[in-house]
Amino acid sequence: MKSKIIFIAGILFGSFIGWYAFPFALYYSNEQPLQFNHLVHTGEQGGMACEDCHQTNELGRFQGIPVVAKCAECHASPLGETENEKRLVDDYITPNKEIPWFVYSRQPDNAFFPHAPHVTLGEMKCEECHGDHGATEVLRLHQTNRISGYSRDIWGAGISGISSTTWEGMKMDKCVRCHGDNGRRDGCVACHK
Amino acid sequence: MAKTLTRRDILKFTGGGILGLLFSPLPWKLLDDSSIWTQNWGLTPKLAHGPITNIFSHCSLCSGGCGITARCVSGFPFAITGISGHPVSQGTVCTRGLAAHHMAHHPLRIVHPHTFTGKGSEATLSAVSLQTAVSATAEHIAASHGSVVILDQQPGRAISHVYREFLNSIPNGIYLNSPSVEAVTVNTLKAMTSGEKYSYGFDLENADLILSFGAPIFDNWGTPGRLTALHNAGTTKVIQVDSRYSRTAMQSTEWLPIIPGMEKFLALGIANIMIQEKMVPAQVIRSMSDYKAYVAITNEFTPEKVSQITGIESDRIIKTARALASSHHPIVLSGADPGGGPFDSETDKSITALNILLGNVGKSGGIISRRDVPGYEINSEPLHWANIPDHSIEVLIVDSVDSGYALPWTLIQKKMLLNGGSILSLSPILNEISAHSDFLIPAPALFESLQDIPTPPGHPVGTFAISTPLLKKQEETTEPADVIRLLATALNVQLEIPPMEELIKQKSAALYSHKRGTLHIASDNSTLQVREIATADDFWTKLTEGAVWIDEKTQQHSQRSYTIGLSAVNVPVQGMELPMIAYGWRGATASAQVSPILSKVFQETELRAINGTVSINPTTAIQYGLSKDDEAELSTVNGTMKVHVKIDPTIRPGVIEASIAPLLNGIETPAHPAGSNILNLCEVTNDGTWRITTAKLLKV
Repeated sequence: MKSKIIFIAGILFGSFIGWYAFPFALYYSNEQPLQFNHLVHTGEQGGMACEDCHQTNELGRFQGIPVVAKCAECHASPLGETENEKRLVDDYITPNKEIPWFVYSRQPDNAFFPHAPHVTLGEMKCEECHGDHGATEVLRLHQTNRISGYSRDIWGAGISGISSTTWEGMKMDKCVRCHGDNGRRDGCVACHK
Repeated sequence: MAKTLTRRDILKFTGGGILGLLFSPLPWKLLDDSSIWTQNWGLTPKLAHGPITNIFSHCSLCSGGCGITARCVSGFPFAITGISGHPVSQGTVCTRGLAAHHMAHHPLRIVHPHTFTGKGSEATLSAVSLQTAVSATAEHIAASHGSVVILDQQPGRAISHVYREFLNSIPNGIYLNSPSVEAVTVNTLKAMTSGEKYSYGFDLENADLILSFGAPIFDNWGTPGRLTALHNAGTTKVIQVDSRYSRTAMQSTEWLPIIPGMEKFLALGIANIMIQEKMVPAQVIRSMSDYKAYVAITNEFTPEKVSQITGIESDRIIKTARALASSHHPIVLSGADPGGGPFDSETDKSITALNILLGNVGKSGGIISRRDVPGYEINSEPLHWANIPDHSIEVLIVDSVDSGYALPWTLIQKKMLLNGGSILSLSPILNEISAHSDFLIPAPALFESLQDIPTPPGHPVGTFAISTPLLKKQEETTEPADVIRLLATALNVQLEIPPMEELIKQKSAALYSHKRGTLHIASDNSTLQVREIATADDFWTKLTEGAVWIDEKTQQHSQRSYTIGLSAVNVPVQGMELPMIAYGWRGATASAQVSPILSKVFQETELRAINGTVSINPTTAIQYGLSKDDEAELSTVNGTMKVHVKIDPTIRPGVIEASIAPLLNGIETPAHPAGSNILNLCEVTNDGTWRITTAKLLKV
């Protein structure tokens, strides 16, 4: 009886390490250099759409995270009274210094992902891959995998890597599945140039 | 229950813990992350993060003159596409060009002068100084009694003029091109034209019927984008005369399957029908100075006789001749096979003469004359390989670029001195020819230095463009112009050779001074008249930014006189035991290399046969006791090699088709950069061709 209890305790302990403690050890967190409230901009108050800041340029190339000059179009001087906006203007816009954002969805160097065929041609919605990020009020911590160097968002928030949504996790199997569901059959060089 | 913790308890706990871990994501996540970690070690080459830009340039892997858009990150090219609206290449780039930015990083790239010591499988590469390589070559030239040859496989460039000047300044200097010349039809026509010589081009876009003798027009011939656009337009009927069901034959309106080597007789037979049925216009007859002699030669080639010789039904021969004669804008062209090489000169003449008979020279939709690009006039044609006496070349300098067509080492060996002579290769990447060289002085690789892009062969108007560098030049590579300057100095030959970029800029200034033609601007697909450009420097700047100069169309004159100059024709005795015909894909059959990543294209598809594969008809297979995927021994006068057998019912019975293609990735070595190669089994004849070789095929 005692040995069974000890054995089960071991299983529980191992499970605890694997499921709960392991992620804390695996990832280290970085706070974003500035807090950014998406909802203020995209909600009823701001009324902006994703593409108002995350634009496609004249060559059809997606611009990713906007440069500070984009922010300066509205925030050349503070519009409100928050500490964050004051820091935006004083520390970045005024000295024309780019904000060193930590990018949640940065793909590895060996993966070629162009937004244009997916968004412009494929008419995919931003939420399909990025979830409700555009409606968040605070930017969560950016977590980096100590071993691979990837953002936690690439694997997904859950340590199991299993998710029921399209926006949790950005590993290759998600891309392949979606491509398959949409009737595309690509070779390796489609994404690994 | 005992309260003390025993060793057994600890072991049980540990075992339980391990089981718990196994059923958690930890081990699998660690495995995944570790493998990713190994992919990101410092040795793995990575692109720098930085701004993404487009740089417009031109590819110089062959003479096609294709415009390219290089997508770059932090100024480093990572992808190549075409230039939409480019007037020459029409937005298309071939497979080899799409991977052109890889070539500077090819595993067989050399960046320093070397020499080969030892021969064959014992040969090793040793680094030498530039001075050593130049001095040794200069000594050979100074002491030579045989010919000194420069092999330039992309004639018409600024460096080509440097080569000719140098060769004209030394005794026994000979300027040679690739044996496979894409513009052979227009060159042959130029030689046949009496009086003032014109450069010619094919007005394919306005042709309504093209009769092609073997030219792989839908498989990378000429400028691939031009022919792709022609094919897609669907307004031109194409009859492909081919001894195999090639990719061009598949895509043509009609395929005339011909017994290999009998193309000349088909051309003469078609001429005979046109003459007998009085389909030759009177002014054409008057324009041909040796018309009577020509008629006398064609007389014996009746449809029935030609049918027996060529294997094509007489009805089809008659129908083809009549279709040609009744067509408003026909063109007849001959072309080398990328792997099988050229026709002999008599065959080229027979085929070219059909254009004269049709009266399509100097007419829209036919073969039209074009002005030479100022600064690029050619005063003499290079010698034909057939005119080089065997074993007469003492020193051979091989230019850095290739033609995209095969060049068998056995052909070069046939012309070199019996004791071997001396070979200097300027290729930046080790290849079949450089493996036989005595010295290698590598030129900068593609996109490492500025190059001029002259008019593609057979283009209807003159063009000029620049291949703008995208990569940093490796320090110890040497421009061919600098090699020639050093050789001239060593030989006390007085030659003014400016640095390459300055030379090309001079050419650009000379072109600008004529104030004619237009510039197509890549960045916005616009067109600018040259006379509207303020200065020669502005013109140069626009060229280096990817613009292409297009000449004006010239006024055509159809009143010319010609001399065909055909020799008496002997009907061949047939019954050759198992003729082998080599074939290939332009660019990939060349003496140069292709990107190693292209091996995915060649190895993973069943559409292209790989090197070392022969294909035979099922009837032939039964006759020789062979089955699909058998290993066999292929023997010719030049040797034996093991081959893989494929069975294909589209292949003519009694013929072996041998694919010349890039090797499987990773088996090349510096001493054997092409491995063993079917091309070297091909028998080179006295007329410098290797199209058909007698072969034996035995099951292993």
